[in-house]
Amino acid sequence: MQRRDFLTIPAAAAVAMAAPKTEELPKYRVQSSYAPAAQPGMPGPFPGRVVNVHAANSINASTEKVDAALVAEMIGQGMLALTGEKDERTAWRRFIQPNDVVGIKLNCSGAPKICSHPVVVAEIAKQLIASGVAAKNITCYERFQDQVVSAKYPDYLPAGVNVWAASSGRDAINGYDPRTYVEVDFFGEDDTRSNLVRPISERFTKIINVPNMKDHGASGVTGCLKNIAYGSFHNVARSHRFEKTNTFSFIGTLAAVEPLRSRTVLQIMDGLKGVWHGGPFQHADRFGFYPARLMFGTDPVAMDRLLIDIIEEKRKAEGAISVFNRSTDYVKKGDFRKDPNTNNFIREPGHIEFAGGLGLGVFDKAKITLKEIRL
Amino acid sequence: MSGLLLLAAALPGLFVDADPSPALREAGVECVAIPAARAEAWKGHCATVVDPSALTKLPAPGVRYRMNEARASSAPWVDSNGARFARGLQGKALIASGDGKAALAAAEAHAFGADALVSSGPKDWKAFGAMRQFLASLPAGDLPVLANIGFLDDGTPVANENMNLLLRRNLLFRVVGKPDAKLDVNVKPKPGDPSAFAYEVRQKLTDPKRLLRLYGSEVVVARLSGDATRRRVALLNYGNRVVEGVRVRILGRWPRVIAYAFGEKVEAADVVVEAAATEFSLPRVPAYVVVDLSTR
Repeated sequence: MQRRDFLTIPAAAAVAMAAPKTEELPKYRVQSSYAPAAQPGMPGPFPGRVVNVHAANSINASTEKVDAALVAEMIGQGMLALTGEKDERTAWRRFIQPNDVVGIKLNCSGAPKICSHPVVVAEIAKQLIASGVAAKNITCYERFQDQVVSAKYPDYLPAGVNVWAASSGRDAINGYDPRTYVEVDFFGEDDTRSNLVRPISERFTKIINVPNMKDHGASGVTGCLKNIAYGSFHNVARSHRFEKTNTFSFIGTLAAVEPLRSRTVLQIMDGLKGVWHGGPFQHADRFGFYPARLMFGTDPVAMDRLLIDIIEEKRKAEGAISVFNRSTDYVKKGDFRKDPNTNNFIREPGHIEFAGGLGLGVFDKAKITLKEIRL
Repeated sequence: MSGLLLLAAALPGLFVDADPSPALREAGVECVAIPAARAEAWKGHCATVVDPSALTKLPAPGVRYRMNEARASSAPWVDSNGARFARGLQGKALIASGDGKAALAAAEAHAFGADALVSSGPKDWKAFGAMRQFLASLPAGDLPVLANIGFLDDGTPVANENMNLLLRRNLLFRVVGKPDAKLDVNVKPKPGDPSAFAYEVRQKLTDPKRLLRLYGSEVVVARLSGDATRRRVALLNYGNRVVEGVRVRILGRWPRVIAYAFGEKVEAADVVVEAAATEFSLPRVPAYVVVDLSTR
């Protein structure tokens, strides 16, 4: 193992984001009866701290076979480095107690090609159980059943761990909390509510977010923030129906809703495999890549800030336009699914800084500390 | 808001252009309407001769999902006769039902209080019979129709399309001959994009004033009637399958909520009664659901 101490990353050259002005933002109305915790899970006890565990052999780029033992070690080392604890059980208990009911937020929007890898999810569940949480009190959740089923999580998970989807159909709202929602009128749509996934308010006491490392056609990248936000609310695709989307402000607004914000206590970004164009889906094999890493933190903004650089660097290496390129010259001028120099929307990577402004974490790279671990 | 029209209690009938069949009795349909050419064959049965040419013919209600069509909105296209009913028909309606739409056609006529016959083939008799029995089983609900919007119908196709979109967006309107000060908004027909028209009307009205709002489906259309102590919400699902959940918001305090659903038992859930409005969820919405709300 090679380990470097926490590094403070120098501020990168300023990026021109030309984000929407505050006065242009939609008017959001948040309906929630939940008070924030004394210390909300986001940004949690470690604002600005990110641990990156890289293991080149964690995934075979040819077969996509994942080394479960190595993944287990990556998670263990990541948890220790994040918390500074000496043993894994204590590290997990910094966030989750044996009596907690835990939701593991999957990312299955691109499943089965790209999703929170079942081996990673299973290992998280195993370590939770080892720390004292009952298997029956762990539920892996996502919004759409067909996507979850395609990833075959039950084949990997410890016995007793649940897998749950909010809806079997695209328009089904039964799995959502009718009392907790964000109301906004983006373009005249009649259904102006986005309701919170029901178990988040009614059952889970803690949530672990397990996003992927992905490019995203509307939000620029999709990591911790977008996964926990758009993956925990109903009726969110309406934010990116037209060329100019509302992802800039909607993602952070949703992520900040209680009790989601308080209960999401840990972020483990699955970067064994990533997608550098066309996200959240993997439209073509060549858009997949293998960072072979997992990132750990409690601060979704800091982690997503680093994700921008990972995706941007890969896109640059592939000769693709920047995620910050807002020119309409590239929007819908070709087949987005095939051409990495075509955008489906004007991308909004500025959603991460916006979320930082809501207090969800640290966006300024000068204030982000990154601990690198190589296995 | 204002209510003038009472929803009629008349049940839709079945128009059959066929000879008597045991299948009709099995479907629970005792009496039918027939064309004159079938009169001889129906002697001794409960049948009324009607002249189809004297009836107002309406198309089958339903939905077109238009998955492979380029369009401005991803919303499914609801084919409703509601605007025609709202405009008022000359005499009785004869609604084509097509395969699988007889139950919805009957429900639609009931929801809009229309005097109608549903024209249907044998494949649909059972569904029609079941719907008719459901309609007959509903508690009496002859309540004034409630609306936010007065629509000054000039009889043009533009006006019809404007009303279509108001209906599909659940912007409750009724046709008025002149502006009605008791209504929140009065509007004239407007050519151009009917969807933009509906949004313009909605903005004039404002969402907080809407007597009814629906969340969770783009294929469910609602009708609202009521008086000082009661509300009745009629929900028509124009889609091809049961809608898994809608949330309904009705202005006013209505703590007692009872749902009647076609073909299955559905109970109102997550009822929230606040000072300004009452909300409830229906976990499933089959072709037709009627919800009665009252102050006690």
